[in-house]
Amino acid sequence: MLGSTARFFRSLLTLAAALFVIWAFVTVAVREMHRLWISDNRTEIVVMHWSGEGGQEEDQIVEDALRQFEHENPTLRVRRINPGDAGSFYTKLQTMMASGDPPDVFYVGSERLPAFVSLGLLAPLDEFLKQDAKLNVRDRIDLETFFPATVKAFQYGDEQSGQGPLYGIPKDFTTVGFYWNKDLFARAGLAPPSQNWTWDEFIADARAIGKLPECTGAEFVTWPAMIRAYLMTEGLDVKGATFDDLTTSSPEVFAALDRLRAWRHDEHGALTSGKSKIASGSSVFLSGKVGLAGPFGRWVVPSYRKIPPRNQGGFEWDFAPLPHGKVDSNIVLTVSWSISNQSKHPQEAWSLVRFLSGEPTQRALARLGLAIPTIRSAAHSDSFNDPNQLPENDAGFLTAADHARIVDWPTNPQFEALLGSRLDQGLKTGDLPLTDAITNFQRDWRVESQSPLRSVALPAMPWTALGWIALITSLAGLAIWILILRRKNIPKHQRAEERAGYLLASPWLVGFALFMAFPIVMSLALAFARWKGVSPLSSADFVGTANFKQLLEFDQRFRTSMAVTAYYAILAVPAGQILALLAALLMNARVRGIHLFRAAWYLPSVLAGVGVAVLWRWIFDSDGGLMNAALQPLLTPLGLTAPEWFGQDAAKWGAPAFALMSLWFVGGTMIVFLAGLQQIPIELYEAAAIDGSGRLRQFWSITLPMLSPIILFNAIMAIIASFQVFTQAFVMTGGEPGDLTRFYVLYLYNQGFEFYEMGYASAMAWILLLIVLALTVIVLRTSNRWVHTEGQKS
Amino acid sequence: MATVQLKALSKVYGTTVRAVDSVDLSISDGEFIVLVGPSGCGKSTTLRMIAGLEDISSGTISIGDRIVNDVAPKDRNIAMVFQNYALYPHLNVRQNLSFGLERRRTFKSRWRGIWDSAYRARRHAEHLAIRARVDAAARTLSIEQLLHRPPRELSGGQRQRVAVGRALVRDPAVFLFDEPLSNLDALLRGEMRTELRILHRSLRATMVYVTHDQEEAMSLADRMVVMKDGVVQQIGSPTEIYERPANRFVAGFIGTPPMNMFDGRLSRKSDGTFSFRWNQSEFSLTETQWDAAALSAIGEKAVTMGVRPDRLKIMPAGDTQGAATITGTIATIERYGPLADIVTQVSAMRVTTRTATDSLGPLHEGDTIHLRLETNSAHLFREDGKAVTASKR
Repeated sequence: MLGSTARFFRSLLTLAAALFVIWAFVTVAVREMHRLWISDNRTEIVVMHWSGEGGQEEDQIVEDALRQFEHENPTLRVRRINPGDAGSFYTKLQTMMASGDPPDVFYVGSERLPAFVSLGLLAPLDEFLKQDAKLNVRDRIDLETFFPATVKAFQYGDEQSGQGPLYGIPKDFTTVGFYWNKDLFARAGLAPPSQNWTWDEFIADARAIGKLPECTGAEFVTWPAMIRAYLMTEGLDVKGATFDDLTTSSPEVFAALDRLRAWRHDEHGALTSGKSKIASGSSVFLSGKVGLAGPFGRWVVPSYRKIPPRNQGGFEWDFAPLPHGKVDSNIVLTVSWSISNQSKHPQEAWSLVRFLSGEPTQRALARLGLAIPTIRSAAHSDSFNDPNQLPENDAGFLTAADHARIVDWPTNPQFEALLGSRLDQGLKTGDLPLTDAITNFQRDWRVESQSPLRSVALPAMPWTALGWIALITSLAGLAIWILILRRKNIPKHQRAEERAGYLLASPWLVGFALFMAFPIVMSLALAFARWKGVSPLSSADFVGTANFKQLLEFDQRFRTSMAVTAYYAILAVPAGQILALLAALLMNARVRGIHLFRAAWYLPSVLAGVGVAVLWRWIFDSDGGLMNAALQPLLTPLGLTAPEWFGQDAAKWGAPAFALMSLWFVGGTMIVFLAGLQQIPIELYEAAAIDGSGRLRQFWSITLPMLSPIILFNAIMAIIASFQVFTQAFVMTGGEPGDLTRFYVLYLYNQGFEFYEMGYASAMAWILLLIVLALTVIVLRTSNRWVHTEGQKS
Repeated sequence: MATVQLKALSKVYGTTVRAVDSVDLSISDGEFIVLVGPSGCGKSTTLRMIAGLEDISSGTISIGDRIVNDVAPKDRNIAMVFQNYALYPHLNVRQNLSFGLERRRTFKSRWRGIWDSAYRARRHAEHLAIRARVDAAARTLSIEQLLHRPPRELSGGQRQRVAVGRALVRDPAVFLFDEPLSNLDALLRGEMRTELRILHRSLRATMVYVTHDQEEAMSLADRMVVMKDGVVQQIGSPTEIYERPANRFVAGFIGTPPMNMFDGRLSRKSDGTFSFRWNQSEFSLTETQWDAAALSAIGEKAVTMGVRPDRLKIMPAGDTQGAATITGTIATIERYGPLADIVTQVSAMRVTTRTATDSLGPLHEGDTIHLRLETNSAHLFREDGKAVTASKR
């Protein structure tokens, strides 16, 4: 009875699952069909944006605005794409551009503008503005009503920001400063920071709060833009007239940077000394034990608004603009609505930009608290200055905006990355003297900017010739293959069977050729090319072996990523194998509920991915993370302190932290070992027991030799996997601090998708392939000494 | 060399499954004992308890004069040969043979010899001794030329020799064999049987051997132990067990082809003597053959008469005067060279007759045949299976 009921429910469940799958396919299909078939005569404009910190609300505000726009413009239809956060947005944008089908209208962050303009991706907007002025369009954009710095941020000409054509209408912006904990200020008996406080006051406040028990004065993030904002308050910058003229080694700049280093490293408790992206900078403030945190823009406000009030265990906080140095200065960080240079409907796209940049949309977005409207009147309205919401000092953002400057960047996006990673070594982790860090930065930037790969005049990639070669080679290969098949003297019915076999396998074969073989061959070709990955392949230049030469001879970050990855592999591969084997031995026991234990061990492997990485970021948090909370009591008696895994101890402990985390995933390896253990005939153990072996001896004499083929397999898989670490590092540290956790594949990703060097990234991928191949061959070659393949038979 | 004593030995799985039920067995020094029975009879479990591979539920096992219930396998001074050889696949034949000796070295440390030259010398001497013993065992089993080979390069018979060699080289007090020949083909099995027997004679070691093959058991054993459902049915020499099976199970299990079992009734004749009635025939049981008191104790009850196939005689057609005749139709004739088995259909029963091929004469399948059943060479079993004692034999 029970059996049939169970069977019934099982069938029901299967049916439900099947229906669910069918439903999923059908809805997606219908949605697309709908879009194609019910297409009216309206012109379609594609809009892409992100909603990282703004989340669902920002998504909804943009959606509402677009529907409103459609309502007002019956001849237009808008399709919206929101890939999530800014990172996914840029990746998606890149692939869309490379495929020649970019969205018409999209967000562009001011820091990306030089690179985008130099790649010819953006349409200049000045003509549209003039045209609107001439026609006196009702809701035309008047840039005079905008904060001037935000407009300048989207002008770019003659390799200089802040001049030349306009490539985006700023939609919102932020100035930066410090968020301060009112309660800690009160406890330390300090006066609130004034609107025009100085760095001397800043550090005095930080020192006072640092003396409070368990408290730290300030978190000072060392992001490149913030370092430059800091220097600007002293009337300095990292560059002179151009980016070829670095000023980082001038005595003034060095003194300013060294002051910051000294605050962090020479003093106790004044500044957090090794906080990394692990706490994503801003979340350190949430602990309530840090007096000041910054320099941050407006974007942290939504998350800080979730801090409960004092009577519910939280604290009060507010905002203070960046302190003064010699001058009163601030920076704007801003995002625009821009139009693709390839848009087929630029006029329509412009009307949409006009609408989205208008005051109503800006005001709606301002309520999120995430950013400041770029139109002054909107910024000064209650939409932004919400008296019912923290921070009280909304005005602080606005007064700072009046004397704020743009932070310009060169067209080569590696400048920012190099500045960040190199200065981090001096300022953040402190594993290099500041002078060395600065020297390294200048050297690397010189190598990078003088690289032959930066040369303007390079021959175009001979795609046609390559295409012919590929075609002829594959046809020849196919012909030879068919010939070989024909040669084989096999009976007719077998040949028919063979043909049927290939026919049945053909969907996979075609799929392999299209989605595996073709991209593999393409990446090999690209390894010898310079291709930005944001324009069609025809724009690729042929560079010969320059990518490889640059990588192997000059690229310091490549070497660092190699070293980090090797360090990780040396730790993670043996540790993972040993733990998996020990676990498998335990799980091989015949005890009650063993299946439960096995499932428990395997479970973490199922949960892989971003979620687990986020979880481990918390575990390794050097301030209140689970790992150090557990370690510290053990280390204290030995007079040791737990490392700041991704902070100042990252050089030593960054890779080991990832190796530790990799043990979370031993379940899969364990299962393979377990299967191997269960293959070992029990008689061997019995014979050994009678022959005089104890348990340990049996392990060495029976288990290990019998398991050796499995160990070989697992070891090779582990070596391969260890060189492919990406998700964890991307999510947990982004490679920081400096480049101390920048794993090989993460750097490859940086090159390909952040610096738009697809050719360079392809070359890296092939080097990785060769390295892994070499390691595998070495392991296989030595394996006949220790692997007993006959173990599984007999 | 040692005796082995099993006293009330039992193995219980869970709470109810009695795999081995109160086995008592006394094995004398140098004896070749074969445990035989159908699969699941507890013979292997008994052997594995002697080896120490299975825990003992109750009872005791002594080897020599030492109770070994709680002694680890390696300390029982036994060696065991497994059904599937259990050779260490990653070691060559020499290493397989010396494995046990290496484990029992007196001078174990590999490192001490580095600074202790006396130790080094003794360790080397020990090494040579092990070598010599391995060589001797290999010679005995004619596997000298295989010593450097891994097991996977050996044939089944060669592997079996190595497995035996591994036990031999240890010179244990007791050899245990767990169905060692069942993975070999028939020819090789016969050959190995002979060799084992010769080996036993030359070693005069105590050997306990488990098999489900009663022929193998008969050919090897000094004494055999027939088991069923964990219970010992009979212990005795092969001849004893063949000639005087203690019960119907033993009678049916031992002997090829199996004994013909006629399920009939005992009936008292008017003169007080007994006869066996089966299939409307009546067979007199003479007092000279059967203990009258035993028969009387049974009374007119259902009994089984067992007759070995070679005890049935073919009667020439027409000469059916004797009362003790069975008549049936020949179903098949199976010829094995000099011998032939005739299977005769007698009403619902098939009766097997073994005879010399020469004496078959003109018989064909489908012919009617008359068989003479001589009660004085028959076995009589009560309804509960126990043999009825013959008056004398």
